[in-house]
Amino acid sequence: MGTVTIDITKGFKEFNSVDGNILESRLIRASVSVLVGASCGLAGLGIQTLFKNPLAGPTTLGVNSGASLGVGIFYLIPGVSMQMEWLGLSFFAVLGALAFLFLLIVVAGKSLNLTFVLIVGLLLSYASYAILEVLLQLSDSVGIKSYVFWGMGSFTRANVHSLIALLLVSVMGIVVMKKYATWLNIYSLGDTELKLLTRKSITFNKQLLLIVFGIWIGLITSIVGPIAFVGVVVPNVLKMVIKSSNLNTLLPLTALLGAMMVLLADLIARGAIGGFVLPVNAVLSVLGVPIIIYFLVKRISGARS
Amino acid sequence: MLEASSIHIGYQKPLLSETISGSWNKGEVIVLLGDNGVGKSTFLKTLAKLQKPISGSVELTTDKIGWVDASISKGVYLSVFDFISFGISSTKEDIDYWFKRFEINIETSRFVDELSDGQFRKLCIIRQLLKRPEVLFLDEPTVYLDVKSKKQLALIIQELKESCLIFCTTHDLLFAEEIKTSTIKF
Repeated sequence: MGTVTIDITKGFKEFNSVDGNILESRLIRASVSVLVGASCGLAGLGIQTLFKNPLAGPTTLGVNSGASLGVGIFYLIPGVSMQMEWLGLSFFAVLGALAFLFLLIVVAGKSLNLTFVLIVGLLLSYASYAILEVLLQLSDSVGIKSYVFWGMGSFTRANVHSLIALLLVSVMGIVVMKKYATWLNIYSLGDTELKLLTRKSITFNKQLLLIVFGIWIGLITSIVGPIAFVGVVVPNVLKMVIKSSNLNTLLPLTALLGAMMVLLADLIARGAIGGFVLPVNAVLSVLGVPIIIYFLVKRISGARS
Repeated sequence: MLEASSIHIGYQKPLLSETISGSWNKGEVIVLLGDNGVGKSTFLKTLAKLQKPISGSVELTTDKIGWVDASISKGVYLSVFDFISFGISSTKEDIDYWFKRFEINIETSRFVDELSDGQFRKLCIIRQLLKRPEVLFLDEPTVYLDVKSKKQLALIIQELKESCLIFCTTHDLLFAEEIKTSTIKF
């Protein structure tokens, strides 16, 4: 914690020195920030398109709650987090996210009626909070502290393993979104148009995309905590600025702006500006909330009812 | 190019007691008349293969289908250009041509939900025409249109039928008189 000056050339030359170690951890942290930012933006964009709702996000699906519950079980049940902390944590979070997503698909049925999915997602969130409350009551102070810190969002757990996992999953997510960009464009016009132009199974594609987004968000949440707020801000701002919902144009821009936003937030959070160490989520909210309110108010007041 | 063999239309149970059969080709404009809820739209959906008939079969020899009804989504951030370009390769000449024909003068960067209902309805029709359809289904296309635009639409249908089979439901009897080559009463 705190500020330290390092010699970059020395760090590169002698990787095992103190300077080298700090440089390595900083590089990993910056790379993870970039990947997390891009991924949050893209997954948010995808979920909003799928649910035809500009405010939909991982929270709406209950995926975040699933991941949180996984992490809660990991930290709050004594003895679970004994060894291999980061590996165990990711595993539990992804498992939690996927379990909730699976429940969602099973309960909401084959048709995946979107209103119904949103309601079920919300109910799952409540259930997860209830279980977490009970766990918090029963847990010791160390467990509670770890869990609460995780909930604030932080890049301190980022390491080479999480970087590689994130890179693999992000590539998968980006490839799938690129492949489905045109399909999602037509999807935004409604099911009739989609049936006329593609004649393919809408339900299958929806489920596939939901699972991809679920894995993606589960992994991000496990590494940095629930910071999916980026996923709401970035796509809304971009669509407003470029005046289009075309995913082919939005994909690279969303990745870029998301990466920039999280990198900047992490820079501020770890004290590079001002010397304070803050939770990433707090910084992101301070940056993001005014922007999103401005754009939403402007957009919604512009539309005819 | 479109053939229906004794189809029973409906969802769980049939909407009509009798079956419908027929064979239609380019050059025809079939107007469907009848009260609300008798199954006009369901019949169109079945013909367009958007919905399966309870029994019987539909043969459709083209997949270039245009469909106008009130179901298309306006989205929150859909621009006019998004709306007329998603999934179809429309040229600027085509877009300009139809905008002129329907006398709409709007920037293509505007958001669709800022348009009036009439303008939006015209845009829906334009989107389907940009697909260069071989079969065109119009489910109450004149709703929200002013008198002048209705006349214009009737004229366009007359021109279009040379290369296109057209089905149209409407409650506007004057409009029906102007465009029809035959009628199905429900």
